[in-house]
Amino acid sequence: MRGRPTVGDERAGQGPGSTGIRRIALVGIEHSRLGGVAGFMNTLANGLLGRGYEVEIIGLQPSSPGNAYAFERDPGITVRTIQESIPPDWVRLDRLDRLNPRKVAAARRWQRTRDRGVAKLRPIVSGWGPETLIICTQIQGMEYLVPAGLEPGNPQGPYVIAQYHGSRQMSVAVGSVRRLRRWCANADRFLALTPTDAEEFRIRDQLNNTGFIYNPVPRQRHGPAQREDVVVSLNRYDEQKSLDWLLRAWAVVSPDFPQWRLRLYGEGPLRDELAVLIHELGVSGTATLEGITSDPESVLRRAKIYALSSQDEGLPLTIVEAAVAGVPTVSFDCAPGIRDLIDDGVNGVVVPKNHVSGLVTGLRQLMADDALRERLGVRAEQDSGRFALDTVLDRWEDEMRELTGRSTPRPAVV
Amino acid sequence: MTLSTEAVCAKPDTPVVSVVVIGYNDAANLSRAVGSVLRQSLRAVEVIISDDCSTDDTPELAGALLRSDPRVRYVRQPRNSGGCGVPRNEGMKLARAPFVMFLDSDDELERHACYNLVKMAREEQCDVVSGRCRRHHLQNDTWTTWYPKLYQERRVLLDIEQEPDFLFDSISTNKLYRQSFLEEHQLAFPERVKYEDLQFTAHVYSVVKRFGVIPETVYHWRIYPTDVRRTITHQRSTPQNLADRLHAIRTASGLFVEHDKPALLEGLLGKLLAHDARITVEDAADTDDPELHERLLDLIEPELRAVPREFYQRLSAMARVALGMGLMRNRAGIQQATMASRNRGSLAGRIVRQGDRLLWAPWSTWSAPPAGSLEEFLTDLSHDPIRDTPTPLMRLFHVLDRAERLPVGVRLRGTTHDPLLKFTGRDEWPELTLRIRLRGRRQRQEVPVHLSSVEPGHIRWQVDVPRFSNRDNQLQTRWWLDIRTTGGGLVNDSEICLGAELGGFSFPEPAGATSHLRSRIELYVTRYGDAAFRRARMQGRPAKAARVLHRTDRLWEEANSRSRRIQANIRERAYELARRRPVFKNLVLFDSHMGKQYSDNPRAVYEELVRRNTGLDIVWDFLDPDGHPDYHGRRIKRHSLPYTQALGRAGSIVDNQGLPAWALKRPDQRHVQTWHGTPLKRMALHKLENLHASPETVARITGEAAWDALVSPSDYFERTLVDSYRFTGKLIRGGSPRNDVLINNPDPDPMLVRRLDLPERKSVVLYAPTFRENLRDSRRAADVLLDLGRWIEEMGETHYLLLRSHYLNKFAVKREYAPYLMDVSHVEEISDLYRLSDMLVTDYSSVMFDYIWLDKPIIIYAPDYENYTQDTRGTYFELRDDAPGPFCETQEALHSLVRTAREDQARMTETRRSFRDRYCGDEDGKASARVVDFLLADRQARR
Repeated sequence: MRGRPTVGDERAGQGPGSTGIRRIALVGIEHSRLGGVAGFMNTLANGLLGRGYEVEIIGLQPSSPGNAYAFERDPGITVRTIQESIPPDWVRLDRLDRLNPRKVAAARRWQRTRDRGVAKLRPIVSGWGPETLIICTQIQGMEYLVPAGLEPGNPQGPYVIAQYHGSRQMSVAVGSVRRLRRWCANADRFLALTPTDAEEFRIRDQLNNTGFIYNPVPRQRHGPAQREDVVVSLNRYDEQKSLDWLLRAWAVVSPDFPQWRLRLYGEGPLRDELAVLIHELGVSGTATLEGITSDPESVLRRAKIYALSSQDEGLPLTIVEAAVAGVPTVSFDCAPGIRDLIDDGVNGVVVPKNHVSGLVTGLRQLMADDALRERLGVRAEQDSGRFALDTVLDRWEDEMRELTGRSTPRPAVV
Repeated sequence: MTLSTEAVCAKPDTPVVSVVVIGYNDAANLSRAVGSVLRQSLRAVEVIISDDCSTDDTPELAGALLRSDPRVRYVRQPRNSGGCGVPRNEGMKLARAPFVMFLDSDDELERHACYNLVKMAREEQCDVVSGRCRRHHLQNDTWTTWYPKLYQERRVLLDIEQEPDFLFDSISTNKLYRQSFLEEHQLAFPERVKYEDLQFTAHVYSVVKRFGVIPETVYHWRIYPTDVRRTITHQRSTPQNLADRLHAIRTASGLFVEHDKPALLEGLLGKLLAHDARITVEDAADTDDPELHERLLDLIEPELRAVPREFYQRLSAMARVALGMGLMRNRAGIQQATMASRNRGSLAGRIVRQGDRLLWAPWSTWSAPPAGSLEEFLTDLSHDPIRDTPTPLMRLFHVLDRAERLPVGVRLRGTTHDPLLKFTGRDEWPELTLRIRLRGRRQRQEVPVHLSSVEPGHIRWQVDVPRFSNRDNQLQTRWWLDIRTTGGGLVNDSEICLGAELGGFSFPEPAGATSHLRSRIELYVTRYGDAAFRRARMQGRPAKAARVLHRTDRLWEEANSRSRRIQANIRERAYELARRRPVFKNLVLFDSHMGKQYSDNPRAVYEELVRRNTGLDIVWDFLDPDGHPDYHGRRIKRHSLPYTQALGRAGSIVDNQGLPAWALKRPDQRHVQTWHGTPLKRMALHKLENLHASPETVARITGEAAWDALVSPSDYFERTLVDSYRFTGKLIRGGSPRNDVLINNPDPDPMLVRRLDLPERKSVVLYAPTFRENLRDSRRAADVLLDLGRWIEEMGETHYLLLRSHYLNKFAVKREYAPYLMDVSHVEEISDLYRLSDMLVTDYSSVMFDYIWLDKPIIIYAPDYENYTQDTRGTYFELRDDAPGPFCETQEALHSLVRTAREDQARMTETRRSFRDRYCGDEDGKASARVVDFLLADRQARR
């Protein structure tokens, strides 16, 4: 079988020999959907396979044709889909709804589909022992696995690590906190995306098993970047991204830096408003709405500063993408985990949210001072190493070792 | 594809943690405890069941567990030891893992406990790691956390002396110990005594070098209802138990002395006094058995005498006195003192002068303790801060002695202790009023109290409550009680204590729907220890009807609160109608801070109008028309129907903030805006966020400023506020009406001075911080801005602090702070406080622009300066560079500035003068007159 190296190949401290885990099952709702969690599962699966694990990916349902995407995937990875078609939506039955036959039928339909899926999953789960680690990337995965016989805490069963691919704020906003507490409190580990979120989940939801691992951000190697005097934004034109703040700040800064340009890549409902605003602020010469780009990476590699003026973000990974391209970011304090991404003044600039003068100061600082900007850029690129696949895989293996009790004590603290 | 399970499974022979589970005749719970270990997320654990020679089926159960999981081991003592020490020690000897934990058979480990503790121990090289313990009260299935403050964040302590509070967490089971550490220090539990945890933990704390703390919960401590069973260590106040406990404390203090841990020793002795001694003395007072009474006091007495006197300083006055009464074997004294110390800081008993000392004594037989004795020291109040407590903050000790049924209602008899002689000892008798408030309502029913005798320090009274004027039909309706005492210009409101034999007294409900169901009202003690009334639970057939009444009552309440939208509609319609009818030219509507107060510029203008006797028809609107006792004229409730009429038809409106959003001034109305302060932060169109304001925003903001006249005290005000609203109407220049009194009569108001009753020898500091959005509704507000405890410690002896907070940022002021500071947010007119105080401490509040006219020290204390000034609004000038007095950002600097404020007069006067010249214009004490002139002239013109 491909992808399974011999034991002698293993570097010290890597692979199944060091962690006590042989097989890893990644469980998510869909395994072939463009972007998001499916992309993460795929990247991680490829990486873990490369380190000698047997890897399988389990998707609970197929992707709709519009969203489906064929990932580059090593044939050594087993891929399974539980439901044959997209299951019906969940139906909430209130007391009065029980008199509504249509709703009752819909609820039954949902329940039948769920039961079929669980039944199909049952033999798979019962085949797993303590040599297996389940990485459950979405709460729905736990909602299938536990009825299918997964018993967190059973010493004869597999290890389970549950993940939440969003910020705590987001889990509140989409109303999944109760599900999360119910299904993830018992998993062996519950991993968030940032230390801030892990802390929040621990304090606010009394989850005692929280930790975090950053998501890997893919990086490609190119020659040296050709940079122009450009501030760039890769954000949708909508309320949430509130690009008008950036434009207002630009109107203040721009006159002092006539050769600099602001390029807003994206699309969205506020396009006309933004166009009007650009005209009103008198910056039509320097700020442009560029529309959607298919190659954000080369856009970033031609720019010098990345700017983010959002109202609310989960974990804005575009900041990391910019950092990978060696571009420092000036950002509003718009996400709970923003300080995990940007160390203010070291690899980027964070300013208070909706604070024009802060944004102005931040931009001006970086535009005026080439040395500072380059220093921040280099540091950002270095720090983005936290998000490199190899580092992330190391972290995953650390987690496995700690679970199986094989972690070796670190050198004594002086 | 098959994998060999064995090769990778956590091998049972290499555990990371050994958990010693002890049990004695507890087979029912044992398997749950062991299960909680076997199901740990860290699977590399071993369980050592250490059986203290159980006589039930523990051995069989352990055998079954042993067979089901190779990680289980079992050891049995040859004979029962009766404690936890022996089985734990024996189990510990068998442990093979590098880490050890202990578990009692009736408790559980949290599922991730081992994982989290080991992770911390390994990452930080800790000898001991301690985690949060949650107590599960099985009686009502509730959970509480054991000393939560200690477990807020992850940290490593290199010496427990850094945080001696860990002493209170003396349980051994919520901790993970490194085996090598236990061996190195030969740590073991003392055997065949109780309280072995306290001694073991004291030993651990004495020698540990790296002590890890994690915020995660690790231990579930199951608390059984006391009448069902008692855990070994929870039998209070049998003499043997007390003796064991005192022995443990002695051992622990010996260890702390030996290893030189002064802070821990101090904590331990403090705990002995505040907890063990107190409980013992209380138990002695409560018991009916004279022999037990003597025995308990005999046991505690040598301990009390051994504690150095300075440790008693930390106790509250009454707690200290109670211990002294214990030593004096004065039973009535113990009872009165403990009752007072339990009831939220009330002051009971009397104060007797003995030579040059003031000693506390109960209202019963008492003989003076010998001079210089510990008894005298403990009951000596000569230098106690409690005597500095201002009367309004004091809690008089009202105790309800008897209750009698009347044909209708109830008669209550009680006594009031007034040891500081605030209300008694004069010819004139005080007046007492019983106030009854229905839960959830604001109105109070006031019932006059009849005094039967008044002696110095002691009042006997009786009061008849024939009926409750506020009532509802809900089950278990509650009425809160307190007594207002007035006399000699002083006012005091205090709750009532319930005499011991009155619990459960009840009488028939005098009136109302439920009274037809033969409901009864009973006296009971709230969880704060105060006496209150409630409707007793109904039994039998009436209960059903009562439940129906309860539901109807609830629905009615809900309907009332739901109709808000409808009420708003009606209000707006009514206002529209009023606007179409002619204005009453003589009607003037006054409003201050949108109906919240009777204060500020509108009050000054109003008082001037009254002085001139103009014959104008004046009305004030208030959100709470029942309050504001200083105002004696006509009043209406804001947002009520009469208010819409007044607002729509008044000839003139005088306010200081703005009209409701749904109101629009009529062209034939005159709206005089007197504005409530001089701005420091950018206003309206000057806000940075409005730098590129859209035309709609500009229209909205300038629309708000549809005033006919605006009071403008200074040029600075015109550059800032007036310009920010683009106001172009009439400006009434030359000072603020509210400041007239500061010019004309800057001395304190004697009535207020008397009422507040502040300690005379202290200088009075007024602290008036401004509103902070981020501290909204937060109890933490006080601590974030100013550490009150620290202020008291360093400044309390010489300064009295008046706290004037924004109504949205309430300070949480503890009762024991009363001798040093008072929350004066309830005093409506802030200028009364200006006149009363000796200096002002503020941050960005506009009070500085007014206080400056008194020419007293102003100190700017802005701990969050950067944060506050750099938000979206921005400020008009840099306060740090341009302040009316010295500027500081730390509490330390503030204290030293306050201390030296007097000496620094000359320099500070100069600073104030230059600030005043730049930002404060001119005040001649005639500003209200000018506004009144404008109103009258305008009326003349319109005729």
